[in-house]
Amino acid sequence: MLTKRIIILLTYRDGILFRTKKFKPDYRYTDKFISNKYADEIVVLNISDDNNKESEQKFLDTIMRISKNCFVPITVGGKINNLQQIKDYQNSGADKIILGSLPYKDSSMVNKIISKYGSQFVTVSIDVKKDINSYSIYINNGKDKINFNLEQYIKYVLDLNPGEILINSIDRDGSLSGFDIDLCKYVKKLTSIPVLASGGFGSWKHATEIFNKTKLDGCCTSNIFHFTEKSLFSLKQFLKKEKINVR
Amino acid sequence: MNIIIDHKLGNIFSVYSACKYLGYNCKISSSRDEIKHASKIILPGVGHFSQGMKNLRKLNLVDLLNHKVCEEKTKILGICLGSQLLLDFSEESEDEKGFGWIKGFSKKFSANNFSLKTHNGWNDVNIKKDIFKEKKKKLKMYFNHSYYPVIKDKKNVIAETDFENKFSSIFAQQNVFGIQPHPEKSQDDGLNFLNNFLKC
Repeated sequence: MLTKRIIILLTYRDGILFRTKKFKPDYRYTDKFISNKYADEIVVLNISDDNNKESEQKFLDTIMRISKNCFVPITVGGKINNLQQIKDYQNSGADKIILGSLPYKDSSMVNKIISKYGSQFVTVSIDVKKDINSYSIYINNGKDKINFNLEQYIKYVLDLNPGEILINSIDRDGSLSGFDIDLCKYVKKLTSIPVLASGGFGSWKHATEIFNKTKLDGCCTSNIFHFTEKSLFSLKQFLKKEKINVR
Repeated sequence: MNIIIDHKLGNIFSVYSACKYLGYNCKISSSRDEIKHASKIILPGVGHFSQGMKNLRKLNLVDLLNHKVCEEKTKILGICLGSQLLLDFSEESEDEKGFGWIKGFSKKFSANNFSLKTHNGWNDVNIKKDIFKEKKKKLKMYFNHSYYPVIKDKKNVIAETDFENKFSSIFAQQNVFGIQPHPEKSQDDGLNFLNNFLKC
């Protein structure tokens, strides 16, 4: 049976790892604590402000450093907008890519990528912020709101045929207060491709909650596993006891 | 020298890193000269079936690979798309055929109302035939694909996996080995499989 995935999400700015809170930086961590043996996947995101060559090179070096000793899939993203960049990422050790703003900005490029590499190669991440009665969609690292409601945007994304969707709650980012269960349930109802949750993972129970209350396929954390190398192992043990199907 | 074929389509560096980590000499190459002298060949691949064959053709490697595999009996391991290229054809591609070294084809997971169905994540690989004399009968490996191999001859099926229905996740015939999941990305179980191939 396909297991539920625990995914480590790492954000890099100019080659330096840092965590975020409501998408604002919080520099204090390095990637040396990450034990990737029990992670099911690692997502590496470039969130540098600059788009220059030097910053891009630092990011490529980072992917290579991680990938040399990492034998779980590495998904790479942040600012992807052309095919050459994808080739460079693959040459540094990327196994898959994740697209945030590109589906909105340039859907024909997304079509090109998917026809070349296949649907399974592409995850689309959707950044969502809760309003009073609905959700808004943001691009450009949470900076710009776009004129789509959540349902419209999910349909728009699904028309592009990606392999999976990562749904990221900006409100819960770095809050450690648990995933937005209603949001996840809502998105999963709209599609049958895998959906991953991000934003809010703060304790082991949050993982049990999301897998028991929703049909999501995986959840991401960018915070709690920075603290100790044994964290992921303990989490997996905990989830197995709770009868969640994990590796 | 073990050669990892560089057909510009796939996570070739990841495959290289895993072989390196296991302590094997290997090289990423698309050079006919180097491939001619390869002691073992790995054919990786992530992407469209027809793009994979087209790239190999462009690099002028199709005849050479046929010669290495069929005449010299060089051992070859196809991974993911690479494993599907070992078969006769794929539902994904109308214009390009596969190598046809093992009888079979690749088939699409049934589509539904919204989108393609992809098999993405860690799943069981149940060993049916013990080619590497391993004690472990159930492996956990990382899958990421929308088409799956259908192997004609049951005796070539080495392992099976359940997703939608049962399909052949590892298959082999003499010197030709195919694996649908990514051993280079499946931690201990994957590295162990890769090690078995490289030392066999």
